[in-house]
Order: sequence, then C-alpha cells, then structure tokens
Amino acid sequence: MAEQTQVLRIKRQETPNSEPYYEEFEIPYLPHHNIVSMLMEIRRNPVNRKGKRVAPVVFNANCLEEVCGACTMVINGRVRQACSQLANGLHGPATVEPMTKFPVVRDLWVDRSKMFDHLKKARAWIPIDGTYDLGPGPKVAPDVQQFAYLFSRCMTCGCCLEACPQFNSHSKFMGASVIGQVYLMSQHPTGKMNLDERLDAMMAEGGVADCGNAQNCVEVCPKDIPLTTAISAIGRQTTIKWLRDLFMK
Amino acid sequence: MAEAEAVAAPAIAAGMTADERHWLLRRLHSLSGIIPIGGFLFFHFFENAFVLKGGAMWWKETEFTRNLPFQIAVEAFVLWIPILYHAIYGLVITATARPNDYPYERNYQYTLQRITGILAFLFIGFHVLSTRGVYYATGVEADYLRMHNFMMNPLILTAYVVGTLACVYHLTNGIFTFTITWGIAVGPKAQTLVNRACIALFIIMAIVGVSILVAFRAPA
Repeated sequence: MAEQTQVLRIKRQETPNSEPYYEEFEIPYLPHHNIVSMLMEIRRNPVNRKGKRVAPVVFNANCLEEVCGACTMVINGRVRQACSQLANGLHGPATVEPMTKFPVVRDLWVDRSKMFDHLKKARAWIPIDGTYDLGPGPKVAPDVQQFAYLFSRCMTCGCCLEACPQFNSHSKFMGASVIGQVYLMSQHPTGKMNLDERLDAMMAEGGVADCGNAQNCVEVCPKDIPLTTAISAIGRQTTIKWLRDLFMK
Repeated sequence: MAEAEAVAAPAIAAGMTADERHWLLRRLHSLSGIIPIGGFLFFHFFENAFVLKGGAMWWKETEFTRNLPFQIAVEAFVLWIPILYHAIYGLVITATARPNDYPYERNYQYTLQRITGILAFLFIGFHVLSTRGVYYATGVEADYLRMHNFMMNPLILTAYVVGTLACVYHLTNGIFTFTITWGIAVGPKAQTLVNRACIALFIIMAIVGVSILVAFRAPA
C-alpha cells in the first residue's frame, strides 16, 4: 500500500509587492501533524510536488498552543491558528493562505503592526506609576475580574479583522479586537480614570460606530472573547459620553 | 499654541470634537432609520391596511394624510430629509463594506441588510415619484384606480412586492442592529432574543405588506 500523504496548496509571495502564486507540496501523512509542523516538514525538505527544489515557505509561529496568535493563517478559506489545525481534521488537500487584511511580508508571514497602532490610538493600556509611587489602586470585585479576564485573553492574532466585512482597505474601521481592549480597560477601576480619552478614539472615524454588526468577529475568535458584547457596551458608553458632553460642557 | 487654538475653535463652536461629529453622523443614520422612517413605515402599513376593507374605505381613512397642515414641511422633515439622509449616508457606508462568505447567520443578515438597503432605496424612489411626485407635478392623485392599475401590472406588482419585502427586512433587521448599536441589547442572549423577535416581526409585516398590495387588485 502506498504511503498516505497530505497535500498542502500554499499561497506564496516572494516580496511584499510581487505577484502571489500557489505552490503544492506533498508530505507524509501523520494524523497528529498540524499545519505548523507540516510547514516545518516542508522547510526540512523544500521540494514541491513537481519535484523542484524551491525556497522554503516562510511563516510565523511561536507558542504552538494557540495562545500567541503568530501563526494565524487562512486555511481552506477560514481564518484560524495554523498550530491548532490538525491533519486529521483536513480530509484531503488543504489550501493555506496568508491573511488578506494585512500586508504580506513573504509567503505566509504578514505584518500585523496596524493592530498595535490601533491599540496605541485607543490608548488601550492602564497608566501606572509616574514620577512617584501612586500606591495600590481600588479593589476589583471577583465577578468583575472574571468578566474582564475574558477580554484579557486577546492575543491580537487578527482573526476578528480577517473575518470582518467592515475591516478592509476601503474603510478606516479598526475592528473588534481594539474595542474589546477598550472595554477591558473600562472594567478596571484604574483604567476607568482614562476612559474618556479612549472613548474619544472610539467615537472617531474607525471607531465603534463603524461596526456593521456582521458579528463574524465573535464567531471566529479563537479565544471566545465576547467581542460583540464589548462593541455594544462601548456603543452605550459613547452615547452616555455624548449626552454628558452635550449637557454638561 | 495659537495655531492649535485656531484649529480647535470651530470644533468647540460646534459643541463637539471632530471625533464626535463622525460618531454623531453614524448615530443619526442609525436613529433616522427607526425615527422617523421606521415609525412612518408602521403607520404607512396601518393606514393602507384599510384597503382590506375596500377601496372606498381606504380613500376615506387616508383622507387626513392628504390634508395635513404645513403639508410640505411635514413631508420634508418627517420623510424626505430623513429618508434622503439615511439613504445617501447608507450608500456611503455600504461602499465601505466588503461582504464575505463566512457561514454565520449574522453575516448573512449583514449582507442582506446592505442588499435590501439598495433595493429599498430604488423602490422608495420609484414609489414616491410615481405617487406623490406625480401629484406635485401634475395634480393627479394616487387614488384607488391608479393604485389598482399599478397592482394589475405584473411588472409593477413584482417591483412592489420585492420593494416592500426589502423595506420590511431592512427595517426589522435594522431594529435589531439598532439595539446593538445603542447598547440596548448588549449580551449574546439578549441579542439572540431581539434577533428572533425581529425575524418574527419581519414575517408579520411581510404578510401584512403583501396582503395590502394584493388587496389593491380587487376591482373598484
């Protein structure tokens, strides 16, 4: 009996501006292979299906346990982490492509730095001590901690943006992940002290009002973050801020 | 410093920052779809449902809408301006959409909302111009015979059925997304409940809407 194999059809691109093309590789099938380990297998012996020796496929991967987000790719048309996609879940040849919403650096490696720009724009952090020790912040109730924890699991992988019909080059929408982080910061009593400036970013073009409510973000989020809850809750907070500004300023 | 103040001055004069202005335009789009446009559609269905009791009854009961005080102003501020704003800004928003094939119910609803928005825009344009538009241009009222002849024409009837269903879908799904946008239905359970209720409302309004259209086919 012939050895069982797995075919990977990989979308490749030499440089950020060159034309992408597809190349097929065939490697021995192992049921507990995942896409990353298969890519490592290809890297070990970068010979394509036509028997030609080619440049190894470039990809990002780090933790290999779906907590870092580095290996996020589009596998058979659906965005996810490559490390958690096992071979025995593929059922036939698999198409592996880089995410489409981020600039390709090379092959499957994309530049997700705009996600970090969004976090900076929304000031999605909690200012701690400045020139002197500010002391401990207010206590947080355990149920608030637990709820906030859901949002702290975000690994800025980009799945929510890849699946979002409103996040694209024609729109300035920043997407769900940053809104989730703004909501996380608003749960925290110290973070709440800077809520207004984050809401300013949320009310600007690209903020929460640009959401189209397709809710793909919450469906594809590998960390099951309640992103749509964050979007609606921040929507409510912006309404309150606007009314407050209207009557109090 | 002075330069920064000069830049900031118009924003302060307008009572808000440039950021809030973008938010406000989006929120006005969301609100205008419900009040007054959605509210009007409910009323429009209600008044025209009198046709189920006969053409004469319909003409009598809808009499007051043809004799409103400040008719033009009421029509402009309750209908034309909000509808034009909602439609034009809606098309601007739709131009930024890139629907995809992720197989989730809400994603289909998202795509459908944009398709029905465009259909509703075309239909409302045709509907208003061929009724009120003709009236203002020539003085010919959209009376029972005129509407009856419209509904007897298979092409116009099809346009009315498709247009009415598009309007009803766009409104009922819009009520759902309105509750998300404004932070009324925040959690997934609440959103699912509202979504189901809005689908039920769509079915009811679709039945009522098509019944009204078909009722106009009865001879005068």
